[in-house]
Amino acid sequence: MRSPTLYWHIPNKAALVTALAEAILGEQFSELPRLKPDERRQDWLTDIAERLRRALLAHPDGARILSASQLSLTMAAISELAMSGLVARGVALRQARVIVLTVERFTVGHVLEEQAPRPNADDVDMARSPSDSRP
Amino acid sequence: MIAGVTEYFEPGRTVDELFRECLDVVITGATVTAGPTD
Repeated sequence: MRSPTLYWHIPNKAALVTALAEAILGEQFSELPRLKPDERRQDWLTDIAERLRRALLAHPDGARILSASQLSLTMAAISELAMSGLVARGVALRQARVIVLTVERFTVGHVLEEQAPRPNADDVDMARSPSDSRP
Repeated sequence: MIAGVTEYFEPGRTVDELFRECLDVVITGATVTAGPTD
């Protein structure tokens, strides 16, 4: 598909990136995992983070696409779900927001590193100490 | 530090395990300030 054809359907690059993010997240979050009454909130948050990681790893540059997307409704729904689950367990809303943001940012950051291009082995001099490059 | 890196990347350990262990630290740390965990 050529660029002009694509933009006939999608107004701009931001909308395209957001649509890609929606598609990436949709595979793992077509159904949002609700917090069960007997489930520990830590385990539930871990499950959400692991789903998020799987979704991002399933696509090249998945983490980069998600971090560049401006308004993913699915990501917003995931955040809302996680926050409301914590609040339902007695966590203050502001604290719940910080916890959810921390878990999301860690997960996306972790996958960004996993998906980063590997350095060219020819460019790495293993005989040099890291301190050699310090000023 | 080198010993820690060597231990971490010993045969059989995976990136999935690294993620899970780090995530445990993140979630445990985050929930400490939110009161007792479940």
